[in-house]
Amino acid sequence: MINIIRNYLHKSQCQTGIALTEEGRPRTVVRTTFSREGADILRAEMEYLRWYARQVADETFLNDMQVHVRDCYGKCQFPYHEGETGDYYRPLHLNAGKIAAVVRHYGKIFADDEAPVHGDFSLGNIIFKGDDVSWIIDWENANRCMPRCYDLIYLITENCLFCRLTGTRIADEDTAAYRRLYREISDKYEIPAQVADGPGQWCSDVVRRYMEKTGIDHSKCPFIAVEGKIIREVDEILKRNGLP
Amino acid sequence: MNTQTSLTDMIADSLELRDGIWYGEKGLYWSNLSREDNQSYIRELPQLGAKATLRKYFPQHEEVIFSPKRMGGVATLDLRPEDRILDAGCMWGALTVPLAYTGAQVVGIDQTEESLKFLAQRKAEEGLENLTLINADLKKIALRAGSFDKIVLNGVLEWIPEVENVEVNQFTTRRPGLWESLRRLRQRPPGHQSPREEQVRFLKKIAGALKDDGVLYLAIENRYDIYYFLGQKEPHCGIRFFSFLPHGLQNLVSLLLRGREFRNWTYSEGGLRSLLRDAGFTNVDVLYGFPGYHFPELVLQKEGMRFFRSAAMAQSPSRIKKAVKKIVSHTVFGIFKARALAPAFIVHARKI
Repeated sequence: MINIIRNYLHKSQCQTGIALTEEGRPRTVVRTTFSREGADILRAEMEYLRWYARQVADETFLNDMQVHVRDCYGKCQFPYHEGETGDYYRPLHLNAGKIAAVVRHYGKIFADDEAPVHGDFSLGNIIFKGDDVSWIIDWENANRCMPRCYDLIYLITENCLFCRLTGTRIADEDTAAYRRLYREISDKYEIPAQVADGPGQWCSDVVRRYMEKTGIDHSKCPFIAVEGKIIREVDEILKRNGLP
Repeated sequence: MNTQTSLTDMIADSLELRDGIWYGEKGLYWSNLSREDNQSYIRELPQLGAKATLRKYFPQHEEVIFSPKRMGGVATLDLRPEDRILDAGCMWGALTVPLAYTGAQVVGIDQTEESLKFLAQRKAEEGLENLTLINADLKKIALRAGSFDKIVLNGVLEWIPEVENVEVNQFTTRRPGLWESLRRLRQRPPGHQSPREEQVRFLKKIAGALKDDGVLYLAIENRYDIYYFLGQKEPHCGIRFFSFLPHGLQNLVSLLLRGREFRNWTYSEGGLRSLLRDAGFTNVDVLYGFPGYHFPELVLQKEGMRFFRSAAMAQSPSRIKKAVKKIVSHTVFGIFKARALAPAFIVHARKI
């Protein structure tokens, strides 16, 4: 049986279900949609997921993946990956080890020109085994429109944003960690000059342009949904201490 | 499927086709709208289209008809394009149209002609040749044995024993007055079958219409939904602290406050399993819909309760009520996993 754990959540066009083994362990992820928009998104999502599975050479995943998409209906299933997702409410300096592993993984896997941008590259969408990246989930917003460095800038800036939202102070250790990670990212990717004016505002601008270009609703992205004043506060802290 | 021959494979009654709808023996009226309201928009349907007509006349119902969230429970089924599916009590097609998107042959039966006219408009706009609509009494229509792979009863079973026409708002708020109530109390109608007996009889018919490996999808409120204990109105009569009363007391209260017996029985999980067993369903899987089955955020089996999150229940325009719901649901379902108090059951029932 399929347990529906997300039913068109956050303006998503699809449902997410989990099928369990007889012992009650998650075995399969099932993505379903009953709309034309959802079918288009699901079709693209499965292509990106297939691309990622080939990049990490996960033959089992590729063999067990099932994709059935029609005009206005789609049902796709693929193996569930065990592990813990990252916690973006945890201060950045405590997540630094994991994020550094993500940056290395990203640099290796997303290296070629055909690589998409994940589009929602949050710690909550990365499965870890210890500090190592096991798998990346939630490819619904993957695209080839956004700038290549968007995912990693989003990753480290979102962590700071969620800490600010929960009242956790962005301390010196966090801005120091941000600076280190930012340097690692800039070693691998060309970062636009506008990022230095405010990475949070830059992420917000990227998403707005993406929504205008594609017509896809990404308004639940934290850099759109959160009040601009809070994003600017985070940017000020990062500009003072977090950016090289 | 658009031929009389194919329909007679599934329906034993003789039906008449008019304007894209097959007509059988009429049943009671059931709608969220009065007959007058229903008639008001039908004339404009062909010109404006289904969605535009609804937005013009009854925008408050757009979400309940068109929101894809309505399919949260049905998505737990193993839907296949080669299926034959019956949506019994299909109304405006909230589930019927998405079921037809799967490519399956779908039959939608409803007792209210006006609802089917709206659905016929949707069918025409979407080009759903695999959808057949029948206006007939659900209790009386003869379904051929072993016709369907899946039968959907979404918020229908509790209305099967109903003996009056229903316009939901009026039905759940009407107050006949003390003298009228006392008069009805003295003149209770002669005993017909109890609501449970009527539901079992109907479910036996459904069981017969299913193939041997077919599945009944049944969605219904839990009689012991935790929120009834906190004062939420019972949705079929609009009375608080009502659902968990003994049936005799329910009838008395309903006669006094609504001028009628209460016949819209719902059950505990055990009661529902017993009902289905009596109807011939020996293999029953129960899932729990949070915050309900109409717009579920979560549909979880017993082993899936680890995925419960209280945000799924915290929906209210009032911040205080939202906070209370979150705390109550986190405690009852997140910590204690008390499925017996879940808002709704979503059932997959099989004969074998």
